[in-house]
Amino acid sequence: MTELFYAILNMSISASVLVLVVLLLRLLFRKAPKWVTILLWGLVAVRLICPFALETPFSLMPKTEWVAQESAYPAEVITPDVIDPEEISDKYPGIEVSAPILPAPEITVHRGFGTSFVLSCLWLSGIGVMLVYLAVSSIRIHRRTRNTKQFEGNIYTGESIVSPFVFGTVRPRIYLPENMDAISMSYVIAHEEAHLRRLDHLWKPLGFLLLTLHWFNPLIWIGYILLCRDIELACDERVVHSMNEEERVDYSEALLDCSVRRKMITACPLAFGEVGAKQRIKSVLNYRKPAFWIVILAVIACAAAAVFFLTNPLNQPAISIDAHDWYFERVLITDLKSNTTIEAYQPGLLPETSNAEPVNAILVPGDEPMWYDLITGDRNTMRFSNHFLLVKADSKSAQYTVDLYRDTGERYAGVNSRAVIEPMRDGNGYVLTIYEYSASHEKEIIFTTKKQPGAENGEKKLTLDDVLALSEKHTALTWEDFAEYAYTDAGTWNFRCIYEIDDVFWLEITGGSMHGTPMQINLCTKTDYGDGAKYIDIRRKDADDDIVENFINANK
Amino acid sequence: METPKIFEKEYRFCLILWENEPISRAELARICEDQFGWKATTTYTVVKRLCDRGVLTIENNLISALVTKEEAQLAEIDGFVEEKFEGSLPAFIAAFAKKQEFSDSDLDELQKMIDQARKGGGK
Repeated sequence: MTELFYAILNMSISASVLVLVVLLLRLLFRKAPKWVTILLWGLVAVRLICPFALETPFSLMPKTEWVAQESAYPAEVITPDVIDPEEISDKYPGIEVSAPILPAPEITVHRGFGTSFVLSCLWLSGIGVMLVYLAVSSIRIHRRTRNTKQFEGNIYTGESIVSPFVFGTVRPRIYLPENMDAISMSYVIAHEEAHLRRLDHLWKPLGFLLLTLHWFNPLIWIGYILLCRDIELACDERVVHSMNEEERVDYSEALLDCSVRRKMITACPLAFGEVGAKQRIKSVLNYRKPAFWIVILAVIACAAAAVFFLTNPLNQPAISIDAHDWYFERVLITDLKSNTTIEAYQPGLLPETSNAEPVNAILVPGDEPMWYDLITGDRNTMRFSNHFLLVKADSKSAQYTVDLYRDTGERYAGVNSRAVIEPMRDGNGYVLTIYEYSASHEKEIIFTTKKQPGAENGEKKLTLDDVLALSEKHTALTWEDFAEYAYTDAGTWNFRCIYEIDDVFWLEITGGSMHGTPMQINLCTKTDYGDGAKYIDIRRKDADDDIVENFINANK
Repeated sequence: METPKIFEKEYRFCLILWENEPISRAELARICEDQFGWKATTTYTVVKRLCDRGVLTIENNLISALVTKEEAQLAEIDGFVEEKFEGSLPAFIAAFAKKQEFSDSDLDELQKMIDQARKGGGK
């Protein structure tokens, strides 16, 4: 629901830009026929209802996403201090920092109910009010049409009808007051029939429904009011188009006779005298057939408005510097050879949120890959051995595409590589894992980071012999079997424990809890520069009982 | 039988009819175009509506009025007396005599009626 509200909010703001443009064009093209203006309002309607748009280089829209959704949690502000490299080595022994750490700006982490939710609720209540108004309005008008008799075709007259109007979307009818002279009647009928031919009895309610969704936006109200006016003027134009001066005088008289005390903007009826009678009479009396070239110009302006404002600006290419694309706040990179840690600090990014915090530094690949700090503008050289990391994040999910590049600029990871960043359960950082998806393997771990070994728990280091021995138990293996071994915790919403073995292998156990039968018990190879990681669930039983042993031998 | 109503705006059209009846549609349309600038279709529509109301009739392609000018004027006065004098003709006459008791709008209305009557007679 909050996502819907934010989608609508963004559409509303984009549409507001277009409304301003339309207002300007309306002013410029006063002499042009009103149906062009209504086309322009149609463009606004598209913007109000359609969250997608073609991306072209001609777009003049400044932005498409104006308001990013806060996560559903309220903000808690954390201001980390400038990190002293020495502090890092203290906190995480064995880590070497190969470049100066840039100071971090204020970060917010969100937890609990937030303003987004409250706003969405307000929005929904506003819609409720509008719909109630619509219902009440319709009922009142329907009541008025109760005692009417058919006059001619779809034209009805009645005592209770004070002013002519059109009512009904499926089978629209024209309602006229009872005592109307033949002459005024023919003009009024001509006008109302013009409404029907232009399908105004559909557009106007549609417009009101859009207004219902965007009730909070005053520009949309202005748009709707002007749309109603323009609809009336367009119908007048259509009727008066082929009239001579005397007939136009008669028509204006009819308008005057029928103009009622103007009530509030009504959603349903297209009352003859409802909207801006004075303006309409003036227009009718001064009507001149619009010059051909003005019509052409107006249509061109309309088309141009569509191209410039109905399309979205092109998505920034991956390598350009744009704060919205990059979601790493700060990355400590160490020498990959020692295979210790890459810790990615991603404050504010929790897997549950759909939008991460904007980033302040990006990694720019190139001959000399550099970190570019968006706040201070500093550039720093950071690399991990002979690779560097290019990360692109998708703001809709916590998914990242990660490309590993070699020094030479060669791209290393596959097309379907994907990086997942999971905060460590102890809250001391995050684990970055890069997976590659291919036809042969559902996922292959190309690269992963992990905490320094020997940290928390069990004392014994897991060895390959242990693994082989345990694998004999096959599906009887449980978490408890590994209780005595040292592991590092790497999971968030599930349990994922990594047991270091040696330079080549590590064991990974995942599951919903740390008791009983785990989901996976994978013996994995560590990444090497250019090979993908391989893994095997050590519980697998095949024709030859040595499958695990074979795996080990194959990868030693 | 109650006289079918002729609205104020239709009055000038009826004048044409009363002066030229019986008249063909085409001829009537021509005159209306001349006098009022009406398109033929407008004239025909008005004819049809008035025919439905019982003000005129079409026979053998000729239009003639069912309501005479005098009947129309009388109906107008009747309506006025009904509206403003609760149907009492004596009251109307008395009021007519004591002009100072008329309100402005009454005067206007009366004046209009008189003018119409005069127009009808003079033209």
